[in-house]
Amino acid sequence: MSTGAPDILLGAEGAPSSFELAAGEIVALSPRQLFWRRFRADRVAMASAVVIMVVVLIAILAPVVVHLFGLPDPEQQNTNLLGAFGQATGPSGHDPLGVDSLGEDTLSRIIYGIRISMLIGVTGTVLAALLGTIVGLAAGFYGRWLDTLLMRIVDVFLAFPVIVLGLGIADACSIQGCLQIGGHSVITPGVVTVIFIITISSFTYIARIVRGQVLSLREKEFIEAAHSLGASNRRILFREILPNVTTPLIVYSSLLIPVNILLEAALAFLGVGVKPPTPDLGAMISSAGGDLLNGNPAWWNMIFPGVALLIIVLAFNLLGDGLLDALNPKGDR
Amino acid sequence: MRTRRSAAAIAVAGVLSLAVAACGSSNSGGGSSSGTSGTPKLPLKAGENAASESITPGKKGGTLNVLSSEGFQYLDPGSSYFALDYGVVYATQRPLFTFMPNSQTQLSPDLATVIPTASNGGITDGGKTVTVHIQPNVKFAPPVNRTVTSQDVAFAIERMANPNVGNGYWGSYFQSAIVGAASAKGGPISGIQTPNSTTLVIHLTATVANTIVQALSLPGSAPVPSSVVAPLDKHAPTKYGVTQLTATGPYMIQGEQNGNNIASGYTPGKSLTLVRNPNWSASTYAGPYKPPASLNQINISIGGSPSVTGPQVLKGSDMVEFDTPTHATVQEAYQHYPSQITFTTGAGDHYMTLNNSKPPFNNVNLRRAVYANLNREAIIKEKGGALTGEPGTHFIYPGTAGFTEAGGYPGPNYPWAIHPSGDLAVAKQYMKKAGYPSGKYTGSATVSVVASDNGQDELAINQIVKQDLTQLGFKVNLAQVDQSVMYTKCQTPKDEVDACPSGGWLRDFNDPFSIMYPTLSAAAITPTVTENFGQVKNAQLDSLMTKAHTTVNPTQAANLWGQADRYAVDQAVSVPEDFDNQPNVFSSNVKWVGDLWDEGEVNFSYTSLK
Repeated sequence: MSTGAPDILLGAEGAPSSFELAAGEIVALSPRQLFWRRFRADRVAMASAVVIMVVVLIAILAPVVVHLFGLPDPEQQNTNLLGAFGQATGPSGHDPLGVDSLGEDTLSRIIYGIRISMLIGVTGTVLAALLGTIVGLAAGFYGRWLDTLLMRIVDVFLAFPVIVLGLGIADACSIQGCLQIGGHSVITPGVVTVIFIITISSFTYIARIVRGQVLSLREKEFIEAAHSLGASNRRILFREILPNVTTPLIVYSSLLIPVNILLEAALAFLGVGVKPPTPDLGAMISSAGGDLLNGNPAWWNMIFPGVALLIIVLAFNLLGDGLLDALNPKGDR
Repeated sequence: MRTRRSAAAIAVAGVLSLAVAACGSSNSGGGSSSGTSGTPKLPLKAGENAASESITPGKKGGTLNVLSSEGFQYLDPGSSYFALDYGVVYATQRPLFTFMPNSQTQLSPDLATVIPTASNGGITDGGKTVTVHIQPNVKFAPPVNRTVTSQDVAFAIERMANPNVGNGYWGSYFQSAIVGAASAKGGPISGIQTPNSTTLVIHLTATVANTIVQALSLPGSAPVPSSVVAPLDKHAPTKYGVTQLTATGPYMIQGEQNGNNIASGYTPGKSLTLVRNPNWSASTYAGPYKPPASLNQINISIGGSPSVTGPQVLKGSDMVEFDTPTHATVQEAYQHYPSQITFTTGAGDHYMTLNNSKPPFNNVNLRRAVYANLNREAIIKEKGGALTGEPGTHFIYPGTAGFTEAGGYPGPNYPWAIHPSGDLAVAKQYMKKAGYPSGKYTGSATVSVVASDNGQDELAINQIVKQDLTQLGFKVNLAQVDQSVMYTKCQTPKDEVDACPSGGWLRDFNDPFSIMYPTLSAAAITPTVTENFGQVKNAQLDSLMTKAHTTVNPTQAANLWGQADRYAVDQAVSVPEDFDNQPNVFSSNVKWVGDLWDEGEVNFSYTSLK
């Protein structure tokens, strides 16, 4: 990979111990070492990374965590736990964060809800990054009519308000699913539909960024050199250009994850995302809102999932900022 | 089926027996009691049950303020078919008969002089002819001012067949029952005769006089002046009731006296004002229905949220809430304003239909398994708790003839029907009988469930239904849609929906025919639309219902309806969810009287201020 010359580190105050240098000694650091040095110095980003790791562990080990806390299954209804008038009841020894209007344990549902948020947010972002990268590479590298075609398609997708587009697709796919092939729906109702919505609404931004990078990179000398040496287009694309768009890709994707988690929550809040009884943070907040309108202010079903959502989104945003600073220290925010 | 007030319709059962038991107890509450089905009950206090209401009026005069989030659909007595509309229609119109406000079964003459029976000569020809005599001195409100005649009643009945009027129950009760009515479109019907100005004779095609007499308590039998109405009926839909109306009841819409124009008293979606009808006289009633008409004026404000108006009514004065109160309002009233809330039993029921015409639920044992496992106690919890309902145990609901004969609150004693909180073990037994040895469904069918998403209650109930089906191994495709979409899907046979939970039914009068026949008879199924959501085509059930319907003796008829109901449970044609209780709230200085036969809807002619 051609990435240009490594940064030169002069012995200076604050230099890490592993790079202890004699006065005036000059050491070359790889980009990875540089990134890690900068990122490690950002305490907020580090804390966010720790929070995200914990969240990821909770998501992966949700059944174990729920079992450890002695909580009921998140979909286990128990209307005996409701009040005499059918109202949800608040935090208690048995249910630390209360129960919802079906008598389902709120903490248990938050833990599983985190799992759904992470699954959809991360998977949707990865797929969006993949699709966006392919489109951006193709458009930027081959240019001409292909560039025009792909970018106009991207423009069309960008022209739709994301929520409205999401509502429409989710509603259309909510019963039978969409894209029937051989009698089976490729996009099944629920999680797959939401991931699909996130993918097609997010890939456009990445496609534009990647295209811009490729347009710039393809004019660079090292690309010209590769052409001169007889490298194939595939080799140039995947061995020379792609590695150089990785940094913005990582930074933007990390910032896209919280956006997509919020989009998923918003769709669930509007009733077209993940369907009950699957636990979902947005749906939990929406349901609590419905209870409130019904004169039953079950605040615990609104506050706790909201706080969980806030923590996840904030952590990803701060991590994204940290990555941006560490990977592109001269870049503008 | 009448359209209910929105918000979860609520109804009763068990509370009646409870209230009786609670009579004489102090208002301080105390220990809990149990319903007949074993439902844990909140302590009910005397006076909380509308069945014990006194219809003795309070003071004469005053203005009642009514708060309603919903507007009116039709004020024309020929079109009106909405519980909320009935509050106004029965205050402004006089049908031939009316149910006493404090009874679900006692029919009283209103415009008529007496209830026709075989013994008084009102029902003759073995039940195929009904003769009704009307009060001679009833007058239309200004500006019509003339005396009401039997021809006005005949015209009112005939115009129900006019497509422009769009009556919702003509086809159910009159079209095939009255001689010459089958192809009527609003013109004269040969089976309706008026030998003199106070006599109406109706010739029937079968011995269904009992049902027809009860059906004549519906607003469509209220007389209307053809000179005013006929020109308006030429419009599609009719303009009668929209801009013009003529009253015969104790009240009329403000401004009506000015050329029957109601615009000054009624602004659709905003307000309606009722004032006294100067031509009305209390002496024109034979009784026992004799409305005191104590109030001078009734101001109905339309709009606002029940979560706001409920507390306003409880803490204010001179007010009544027209809507179903929210759970929070019920709780607040119950705990802090116990004398300002009533619960009306027999306010309808809800049930889950299962498609009897196709797999998997064309298998009776599969239906019994679903019946056995449905947690009806949990459903009631979601509707607001024990005060607002009782587990449904069969199809004829409390307060209707045949209810007791079918088993009363406990219902028929079938193994799949006696566990209101659901019994998975019993359900699995029937799964095995249905051919699934593991006790779980292993077939390939995915059960399509179409359910309403209107309101938190229904969303929660949908999840209960889904869980209970899933426990039996069914793969469930639950579509939660707007209530109107749900009804459209479930009413359309070709859509082949497997299950429709929370279907509600509100009878039109005290005849089980109006509950069971439209919902469970094969005759009710047409290729395009049906109220028989489960597409039940059971010859024996049809035979039992027909026999009951054509039996003239009311006691025998009730017994036969009880048999038909029990057989419907035996076949598990649908799964009853609950018998509804309807709460109603009002201010402390309101002497509230509700129509028990109409979800406890406030009766303006009997309600007064203290």
